[in-house]
Amino acid sequence: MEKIEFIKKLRSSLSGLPPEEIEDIILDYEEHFESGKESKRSEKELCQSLGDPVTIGRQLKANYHIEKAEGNASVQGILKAVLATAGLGFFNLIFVAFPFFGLLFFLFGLVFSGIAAFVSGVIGFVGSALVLVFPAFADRFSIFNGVTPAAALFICIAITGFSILFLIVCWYLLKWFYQLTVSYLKLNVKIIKG
Amino acid sequence: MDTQLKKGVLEMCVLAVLKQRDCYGYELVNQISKKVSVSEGTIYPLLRRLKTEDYVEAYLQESNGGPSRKYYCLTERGQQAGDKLLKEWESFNQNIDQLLKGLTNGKN
Repeated sequence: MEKIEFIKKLRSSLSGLPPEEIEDIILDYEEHFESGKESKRSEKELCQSLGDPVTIGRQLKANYHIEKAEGNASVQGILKAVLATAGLGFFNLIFVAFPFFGLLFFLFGLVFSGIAAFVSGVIGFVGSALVLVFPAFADRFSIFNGVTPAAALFICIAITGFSILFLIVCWYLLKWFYQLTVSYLKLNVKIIKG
Repeated sequence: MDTQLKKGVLEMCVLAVLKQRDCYGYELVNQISKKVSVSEGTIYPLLRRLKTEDYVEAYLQESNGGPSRKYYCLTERGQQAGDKLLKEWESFNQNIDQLLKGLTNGKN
C-alpha cells in the first residue's frame, strides 16, 4: 500500500465526522508521510509501520463520538459513541454493546412501569373523585368493591405521588448511567486493542 | 508485550517524551516506536485525545526549508498527569520485581 491508498482508506473510514475534523486528521498523516520521506523511508514502508488505516479510522471515530457525548449530553450522541466503540472489535462488542443495551432496556422498563403507575393513579383519582361527587357512578366502577370511594381517592393520590418520586429516581439513575457509560467507553478506547 | 498493557503505557510514554522537549508528530512516533513495538498510526489518535483532554497543545512551526510542522507541547495538566502515571508505573514495576525476585529466591 502507498500513501494515496492509505489516505483514501483512512478518509472513507472517517465518513460521518465533520469535514474539518477529517481534514485535520488527514493533515497529520500527510505530514507523517512527508517527514518519513525526508528520512529516506519509502511510502510502502511507512504504510506498513502505520498499520491498518481502517482500524485507525475506527479508533479516531470512537474517540470523537465519546468526546462529543461527554461534552453535550444527547441520546443520539451516546448511541453513536457506544456503537463506534463496540465496532472496534469483537471483544468490544461483547463488553460494550451487550451490557449497555441490557442496562438500558432495564432502565426503560423501570421508567415505563413508573409512567404506567402514574397514569393509573391519575385515572383512579379522577374516577374515585367522580364517584364521591356523583354516587350514582359507583355501579360503573365495580373495582371499588369493598373500598369506599374516599379510601380509593387517597390510595390513588398515594400511587400518583409515589410514581412521581419513582420517576424522579429513574431520572437520576438515567443521568448516572449516562456518565457511567461515558467513562466506561473512555476506559475501553484506552485499554482495548493497541 | 500484550497490547492491552501497551496502550495504557503508550500514553505515559508520549507524556514522558514531550516532557523532555516539544516534538512534531513523526519525531514523537519514531522515538516511541524505536523502543516499543506499536502500530505507529495509533499514536495520532492518542495525541488527538490528549489534546482534547488538555494534556498537550499543538502549534505550527516552520522547519528548515521545509513546510511548517505541527509541534506538540505538554500543558501544566499534562505534566501532572504524566508524573502521576510515571509514579504508578514505577511502583508497579518495583512490586513486580520484588515478586519475581521472591519467587526465584524461594526456588533456590
